[in-house]
Amino acid sequence: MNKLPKIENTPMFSWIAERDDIDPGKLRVLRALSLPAEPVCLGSSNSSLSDGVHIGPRDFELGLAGVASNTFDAPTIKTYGYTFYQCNERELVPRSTPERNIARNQCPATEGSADGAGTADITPTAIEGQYTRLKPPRDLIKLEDRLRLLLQPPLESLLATSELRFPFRPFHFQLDGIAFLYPRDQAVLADEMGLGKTMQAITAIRLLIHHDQLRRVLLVCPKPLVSNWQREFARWASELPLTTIEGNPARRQWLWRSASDAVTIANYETVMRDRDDVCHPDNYYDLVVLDESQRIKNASSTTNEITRSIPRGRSWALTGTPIENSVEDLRGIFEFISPGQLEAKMKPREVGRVVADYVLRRTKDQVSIDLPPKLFRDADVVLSPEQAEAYRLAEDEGVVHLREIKQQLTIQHVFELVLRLKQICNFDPATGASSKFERLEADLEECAASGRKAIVFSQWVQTLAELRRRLERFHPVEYHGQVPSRQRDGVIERFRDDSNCHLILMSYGAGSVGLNLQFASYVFLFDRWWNPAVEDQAINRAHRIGAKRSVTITRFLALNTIEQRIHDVLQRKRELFEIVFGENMSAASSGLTREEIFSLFKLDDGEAAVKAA
Amino acid sequence: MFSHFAAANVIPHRWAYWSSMSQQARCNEPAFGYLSAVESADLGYFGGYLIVSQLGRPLEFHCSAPIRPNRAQQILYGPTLESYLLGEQIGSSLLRAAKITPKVIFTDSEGLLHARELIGVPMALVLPADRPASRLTRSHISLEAIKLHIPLGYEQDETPIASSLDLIMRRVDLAEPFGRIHEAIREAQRIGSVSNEAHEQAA
Repeated sequence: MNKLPKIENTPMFSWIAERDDIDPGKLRVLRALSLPAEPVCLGSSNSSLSDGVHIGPRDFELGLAGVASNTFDAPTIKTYGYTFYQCNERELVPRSTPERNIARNQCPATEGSADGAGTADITPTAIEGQYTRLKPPRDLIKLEDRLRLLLQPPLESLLATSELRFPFRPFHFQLDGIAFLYPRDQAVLADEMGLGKTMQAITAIRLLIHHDQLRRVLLVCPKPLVSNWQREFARWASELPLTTIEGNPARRQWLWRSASDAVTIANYETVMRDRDDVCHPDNYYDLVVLDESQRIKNASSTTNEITRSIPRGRSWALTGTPIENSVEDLRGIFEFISPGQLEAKMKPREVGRVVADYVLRRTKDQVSIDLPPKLFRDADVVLSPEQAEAYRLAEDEGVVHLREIKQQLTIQHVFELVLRLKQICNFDPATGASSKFERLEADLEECAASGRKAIVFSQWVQTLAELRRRLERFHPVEYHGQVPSRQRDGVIERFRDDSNCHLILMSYGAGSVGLNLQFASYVFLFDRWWNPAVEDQAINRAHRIGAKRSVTITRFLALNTIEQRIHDVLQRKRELFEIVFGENMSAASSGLTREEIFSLFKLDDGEAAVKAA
Repeated sequence: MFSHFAAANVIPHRWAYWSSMSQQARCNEPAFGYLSAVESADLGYFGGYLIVSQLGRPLEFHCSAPIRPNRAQQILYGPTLESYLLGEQIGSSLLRAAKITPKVIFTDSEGLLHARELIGVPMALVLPADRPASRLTRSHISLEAIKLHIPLGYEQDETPIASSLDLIMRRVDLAEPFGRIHEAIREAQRIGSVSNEAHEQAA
């Protein structure tokens, strides 16, 4: 006789006890179809002679014969049943309009497919004996709903039976991400940059649309990423009809009101401008997805207010940096995801517990993908004599000025001084001397000589322009806010395809999110951003799935300057993220608070606080 | 204005798409049954019966309340207790409860194979290919990683079983649905435990 699988008797109140939001009346709902905790004994026994021996009172009178007789009574075995009805598979035929073919052909190599070639069917087979199963979220209370999900075929089978084709077989952790999103009304996919959040979201949407559980989806993303999403939809779900909201106000209004495609893409600015149409009570979306959802981290911002006003059934947020500065950032996102879940005064550990079932966060270290290593080099430079002198004068004068203005002092004044000093750390304004540039130039020589490509990040367009002038022999291209949106795809293509073009000069603002530049082997952070999370995003343009070589990241830092002071403050704050998301989370994502900014120059924040606010 | 919105606005809650299918005719496609059982040290035996479409989608699910033999029964039935409990009691109760008649019923438990005597549907015991044949079976169908064992006395089932496999095997790993049954029983038992306890407290 083969052995049966064993199950443990789950401790009472294992998870319901943690929830105080379940009305006792609702508990009755839980009882539907649930199995009793007490077993039914065979025969008519109803009392216990001793442990494990159940004999009824009648048995004592009848003796052993009576016991034997009872055992042959047919027991009444209670069964619980549920009938499922098959959902309709929606027939969606891939569109083959010339535009979409062009979009597909132009699609740059993306996650996991550096060569961008080929397609794959998903076969309904387990990976290393493990299937990816849909698991009901905790807020799904009714047992029949929970069973409906648990009894669905594993994701591998669902993808295979939906006749969906993929550019390549998703990684196992990506299937986990899809299985996480699929059953959730509220979800934050917070994977580290480069793990394929875009593909996971698109595939989950695709599957839900095919299963007729979604009909209208709105995807909101930063403006520079609209074309990226179009490309990724063409690549991962070419059969899904798309509408992109763009054009003049009249056209946009027409699009908002008449778009009947399954997926509508809009950028945050458009959503802000067209709030009356987007938030119209009749404009219902089955799902609203916010990409780079740190855009709504400020719960009192207009962007947050508008996005959470969009009539919708499900709310998903995608971000690689759910916490940039403080736990408040996550609260801002949750005002959209599940308003009221996070209260203002919650401690980080409590926040971590509350959001655990809503947030899926994986880092590259946690997932077993074969990414080449990321090598960090800290290029600590000493300012040239000209820079050092200019820096000393500027700081002395600046601090004296800040102290003089006292009551008028605002955080903006401090920012201005910080930025001025950081610019001097890049180039001496009078002579153009730059210790950083000398080091960068030497490194780029080596990079170009080996036929590799490099990305240089700076926060200033002027700095990028100066670098371009000085580094012309490397045939650099620029990608920043002053490059028109329609030209940006061309810039990326030239960087990728032109073997003479070894360098792309990028601003953190325009280039740090959503781009796939895994063909670059070197990343230089010429100056440092306020927030390590933004730096991480920038680095992960190159170090992402599909990268075939190690990525060397050079972080410039001018010693004994404001850059070092900021670096030291941020270094001390790297623990916050780990407290909320667990010990293994490696991304540091805390910026500077106003107090810390004032403290950079040992200024008292007290008097300026009201003014600054 | 907003005419399409009005139509969209009637879209109901997320799972309602599936539930709304209740108004539609039931699917006439071939169905396959999966009969399994799990054992709990504290509570005894649970049975589960899942009927799936040829795409592997669930059509019906039935599970039994836990059943525990008493000491006298254990002594009297001896080694045949499990087949009595699983095949004649749990298996037959679950099969009787189902509305859909599948083309084949697969089981992963020898004890449940006894249910074949109570129904007119071919049954097969699904075992890993490297597991020795059961003494309750004689013929088998070899597939890649598994073997389908046909119960003794029902060798004529081999042909209809073999001809049904084409319908399901391309889309479904034949052994996979048993895992779903075990998960569902665990969930039903888990929720049952906590809800019973919580209900008593609430009362």
